[in-house]
Amino acid sequence: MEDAAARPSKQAKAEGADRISLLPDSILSQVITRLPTKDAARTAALARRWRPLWRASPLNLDDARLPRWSWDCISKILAEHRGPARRLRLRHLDGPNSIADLAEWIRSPALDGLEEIHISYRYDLLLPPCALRFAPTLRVASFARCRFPEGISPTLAFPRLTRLALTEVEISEDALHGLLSACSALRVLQLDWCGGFDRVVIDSPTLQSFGIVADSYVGELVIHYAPRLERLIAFDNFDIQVIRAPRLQMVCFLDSHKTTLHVGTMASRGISGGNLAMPLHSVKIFILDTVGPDLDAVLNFIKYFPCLEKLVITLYLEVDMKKKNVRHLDPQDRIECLDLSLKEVVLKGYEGKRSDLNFAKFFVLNAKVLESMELRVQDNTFTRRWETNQRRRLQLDSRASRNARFEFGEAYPFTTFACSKHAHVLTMADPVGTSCGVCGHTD
Amino acid sequence: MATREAGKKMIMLKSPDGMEFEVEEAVAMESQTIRKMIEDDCADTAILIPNINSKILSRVIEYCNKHVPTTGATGAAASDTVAPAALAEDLKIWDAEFIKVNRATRFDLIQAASYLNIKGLLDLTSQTTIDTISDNSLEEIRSFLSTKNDYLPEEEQTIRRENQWAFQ
Repeated sequence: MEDAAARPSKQAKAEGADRISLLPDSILSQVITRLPTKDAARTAALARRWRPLWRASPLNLDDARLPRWSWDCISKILAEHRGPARRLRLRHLDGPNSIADLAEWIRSPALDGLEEIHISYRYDLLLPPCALRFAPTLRVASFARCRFPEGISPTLAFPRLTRLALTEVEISEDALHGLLSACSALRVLQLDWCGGFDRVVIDSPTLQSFGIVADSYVGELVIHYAPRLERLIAFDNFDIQVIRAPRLQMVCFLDSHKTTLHVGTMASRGISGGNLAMPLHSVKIFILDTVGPDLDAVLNFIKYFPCLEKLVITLYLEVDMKKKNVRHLDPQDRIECLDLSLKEVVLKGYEGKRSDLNFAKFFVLNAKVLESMELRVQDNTFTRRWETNQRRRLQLDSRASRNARFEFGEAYPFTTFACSKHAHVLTMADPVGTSCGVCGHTD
Repeated sequence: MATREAGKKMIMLKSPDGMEFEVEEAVAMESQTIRKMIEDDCADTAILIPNINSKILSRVIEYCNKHVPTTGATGAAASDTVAPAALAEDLKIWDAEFIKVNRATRFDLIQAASYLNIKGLLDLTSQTTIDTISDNSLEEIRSFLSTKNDYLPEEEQTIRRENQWAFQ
């Protein structure tokens, strides 16, 4: 990505005159506002042309590389900067004093018009209610390890907010739903390890991507009305009900045992009973972790996705291998996607033991339009001889789809997603690939 | 002239060196400046783009052609939407190739992106400058930008003192 001219070099110097100083203030301001705070402030010392620019550029105040415990310097920046502000990111707040400081900073006129806010405490403290003063202008917001203020005003509105992330935030069910209904332009929502509510109801005409992560508690998740929702990631222990999500393309659940899915109205509850009157035709990609592995649990999910094209499963083998995973499909037991649409199966953490071998073999023998199956092998069991033996035991000669290719490879990355940053998983093109398309790193 | 071709409305863009470029209206409207001209009905005939020569203008059009939303939706900025699979990464690779130009051209493109108000192109073209300023010493930055330090030594000292935290 970086081109050779990006570094100071003889060639760069030879290219001539000081073109950048001729650019109008507005462009230089746009460069300055995207620099880390420290680098932005330093530009004032480059030359006279640059001196007034930092204080007049939209403020990007980020404590990432500021001297540690430098509250004075934040106060100083806010006192001297003319505003407006573009971005505020504070991650080292950790005591009642810093919270008092935060409330004072938030009231600073230099932060008027703030578009992006990221506030992260070291432990659970109340977010100052005045932080909501930026509601009219915010586009992106994230809050971590704090308590969200109660009693959200019904008139509160975030008309421009497109991305919201709450991580380890304590928020009541009322406050959460009040907040969500105030976000009329929300596209990406991330709720990670939050508490204070047992139920989340999504009613959003704009939401495209929604991820929720919880620990071991069982919560209820209702996708009530989400006409533009494309991506749903729910980890783990959720009782999920999808009522209206006609554009849902990618579904990802962690742990086939702890998640239940109901589609349609309240009447059609129960994954095992399975009222299949209302399948989700739009779902093309399904990603799941399964302990066991548990073939029956996986099949119960994919019955809901008759047009499924890609299935990505991370296998966690149980030591005692209770699950034999031998299953013969009866004609009345038909799983539509196996006959018509499932083209790609990826199995991560494959060991070739009885339970996961049978699990894989089921798809070999039943996926009629399969084009490729990748078996990503855990640890060092992987030798040529082992592979040949596996190919025989998987009965690849009897495969249901004559054109299917079968590949054995390393399990890298073994994690479900290519990136550890949940926010990236929600927006990147291929979350189960081998590298993160958003931050570019390989996890 | 605004004409119609295969059901798509076309717009003529003219550079000051006399070259004419016929582009789809949707492509031209990637530029907020041109969008405003069209919406204000100031664009019946060809639009003259001052200060941008044909070489740079053709590259700008190339960029807009690649980045015009394929859905046909107008208005909404595409930057915040969830990437349709593969498309976003494909664009990233394309952008990386597009920006492999010499420094003079890059500054020309920055200026053009600014005048035409094309946010994505401005972000792309200014990224190299941003990368240079981040993490380099003042001397290195000046050297790369060919910027002459016109401060007296005591003046520079004063500025450093004013924001001492930034120079630690």
